[in-house]
Amino acid sequence: MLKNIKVISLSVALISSLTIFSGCNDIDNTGENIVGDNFVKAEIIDDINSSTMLSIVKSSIDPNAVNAFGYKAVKITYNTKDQNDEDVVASGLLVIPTASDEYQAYRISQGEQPFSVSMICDNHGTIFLNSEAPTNVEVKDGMPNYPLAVSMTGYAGFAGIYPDYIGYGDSNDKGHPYLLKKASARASLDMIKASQRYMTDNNIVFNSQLFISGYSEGGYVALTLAEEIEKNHQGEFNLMGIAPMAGPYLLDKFGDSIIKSDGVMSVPAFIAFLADSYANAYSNLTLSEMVLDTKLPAFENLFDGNNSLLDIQLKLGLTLNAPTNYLFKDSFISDYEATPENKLRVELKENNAGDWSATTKIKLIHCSNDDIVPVDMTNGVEYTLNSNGAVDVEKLIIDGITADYLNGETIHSNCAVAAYSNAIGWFNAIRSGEI
Amino acid sequence: MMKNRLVKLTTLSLIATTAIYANGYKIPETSTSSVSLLAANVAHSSGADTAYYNPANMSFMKDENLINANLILISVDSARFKGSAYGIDGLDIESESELPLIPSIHYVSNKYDKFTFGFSMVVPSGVTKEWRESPAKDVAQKFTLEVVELNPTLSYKVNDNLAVAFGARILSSHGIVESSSTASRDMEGDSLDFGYNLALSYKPTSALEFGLTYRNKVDLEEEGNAKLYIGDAKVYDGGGSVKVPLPAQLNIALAYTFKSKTTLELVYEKSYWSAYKTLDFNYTSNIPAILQPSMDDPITKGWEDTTTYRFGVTQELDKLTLMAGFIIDETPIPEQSVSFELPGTDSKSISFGAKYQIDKKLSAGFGMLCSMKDSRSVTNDHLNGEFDSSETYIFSTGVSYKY
Repeated sequence: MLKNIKVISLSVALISSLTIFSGCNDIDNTGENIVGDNFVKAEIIDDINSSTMLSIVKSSIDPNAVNAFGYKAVKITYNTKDQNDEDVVASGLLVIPTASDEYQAYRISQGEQPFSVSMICDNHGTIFLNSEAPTNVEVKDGMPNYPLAVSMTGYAGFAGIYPDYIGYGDSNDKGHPYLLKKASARASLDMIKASQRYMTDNNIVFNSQLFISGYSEGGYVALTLAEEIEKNHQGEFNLMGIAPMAGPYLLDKFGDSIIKSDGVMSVPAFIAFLADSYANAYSNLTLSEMVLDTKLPAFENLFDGNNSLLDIQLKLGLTLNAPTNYLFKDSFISDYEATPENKLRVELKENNAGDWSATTKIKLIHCSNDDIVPVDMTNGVEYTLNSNGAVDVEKLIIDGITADYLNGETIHSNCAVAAYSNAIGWFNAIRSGEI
Repeated sequence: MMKNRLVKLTTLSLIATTAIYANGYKIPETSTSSVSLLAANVAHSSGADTAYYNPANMSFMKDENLINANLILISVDSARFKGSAYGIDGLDIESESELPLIPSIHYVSNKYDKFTFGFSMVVPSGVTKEWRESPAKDVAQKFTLEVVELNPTLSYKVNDNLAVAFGARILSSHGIVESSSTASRDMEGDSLDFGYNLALSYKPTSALEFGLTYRNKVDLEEEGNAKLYIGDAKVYDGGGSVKVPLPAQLNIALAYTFKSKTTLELVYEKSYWSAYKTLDFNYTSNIPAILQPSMDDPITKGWEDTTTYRFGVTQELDKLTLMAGFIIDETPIPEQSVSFELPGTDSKSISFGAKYQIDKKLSAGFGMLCSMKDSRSVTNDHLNGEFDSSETYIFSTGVSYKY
């Protein structure tokens, strides 16, 4: 029976062949693989075997663990672009799991596929020192140095992709685009591409499953990265799950809560960083119109990666929970409060995360009593995502986290352990097909 | 379990799908006369398509220019499979039907002393196949190979009984390979390749004719772009190539013309498909390790040489010429290599056609054939079932002009 007959005219082939005979060829790209061609170079920092990792996992994560994965830490150098589309050579840490022969044999005995690598792109929270960048934290000493990678790679068997971000690592000479949507997403996106290329070129058996996480600033970056992938890079990644945690997703609301006449900056360094970043990114914004004249000189090289949070606040002469008008001019605060067209307000809103119709599973995680990034950020972005028709948004609010403020702890930082534990477990459940 | 199956699927060949005949992916008929005679017109040939089927015979043709143009419509029935494949039982799936339209042009010149020049532009090979149901589409969602051959030839008349010929083969091809599964491939390439053909014609009497023709093996090296995907993720976008052989072919032909102007023709045809040992996709740079077994490692094909017997009968009746043919064809594909891309089976074909001399210069004709492919039971590493019998029909019409 002839059904769905398709007429294929080879006379067209005849004609097109004449074109071929004449030397024309319209097939795109017959050269090297262009997927991940932003990869520049790689440097192996450490390569720790699975038995060593099992000891570490047992002592630090799970005393009952019977398996762990080898931990191969690689510094990836790659090309990306900053907020103004200028070329930047950036870096990040890639930690690749290696399965032991015993584990591979176990999987096969269970009728499972041989182990292949799924990836988590985890985006770190706000750092001020370049030494805190993932590629600087990981050092060649035969031991794993990046704690999250011990959990994600050594214990859970994911490849961990940890962008340094622009402004740290190899791009330390650049300013960090703090809470700027485009550059934040692109630096992480390009790190993923370069990491995949490294794994391809080095015969790492990866399966292209991609998970995205991040905490605090990293939570914001995670959501902007996911948005960028879903909007503009469909068909390039197998995005499986997104776990943004404790991020300031709705920047205009975040600004509203602080930049007001009776506003308080719980950690002034963060707010100063935001002001400095936006002043550098947008030509219509200047520090001098926002910040007190007396504070302006302190901003010189303040965020160059050589000053700690404490250093920054000391140089600014600000303490925790300082009133907002100790940093910002009253005139600016008044304008911000009263004028919807206030330039910072407009740009903050422009950089809000989560305003798209997400199709990948999202799990928003936040601690109810977060003392730096209010949990309303998560409640708000959940509403935004769902209003846009996001397919599968889940929210986990964690209660009961405490902090010893006298020892410099915060609820925000202490919440990260519980949040990450949940996120990794959630990723694992997706990977294994449980959800 | 599903993942297991899908990954295994990607380890398969993705080339050369259901052929028009049993005999691989060749298209032997490139003119109306050859459709009518099932390409048995080797020893006894008198039309412009002599330039292609036995150019040595050009030396025995009249001293005139002769040109012939044809349109050939091929109706390929869907391939239907019942059984189990890749771990899925109870399958009853069929491919899309195909209806390609193929043109051809043949030309034979007047004489230049003992030399005669000929030229053919034909489609000697070509397939296109689409499966839209799993698991077949996981292996061969789409395969298209289009080949166009330019074949200039030159014959030399040794004496009144013997002539020889040489031809150059210029083959332009375009290939598309698509598979859609957990791991997917989207590949497109072009190739320009060269070969040669030889021919000999011996006529001991005016009634008895011998013909011997040979075409060498040409490897179509399809080079272009390949995109590889794992799920939705594109992991490779760069240069890719795959080599597909057009096998060498030897024809030994005999024809005898009775006083009644009835010509019987017999062709023994050997196709050296054993050249198709492996199918090997190559890439300009590394592909992900997880895809290497399925997308990069050579795939054993192990095809076998085939023998085809062609019978033709021609009856000249004043201005009308009637033709008919019959062939017995065998598949080159061993059971172990049979899959959805090319469920080759043995076949038998019959044909008939006619030419009419409209005036001294112009003639026109038509021909048709029916190829009946046997059903084939297959038990190999991937398939356990049967491909149903099916038919292919070819309809051809052509005009010839001499001056």
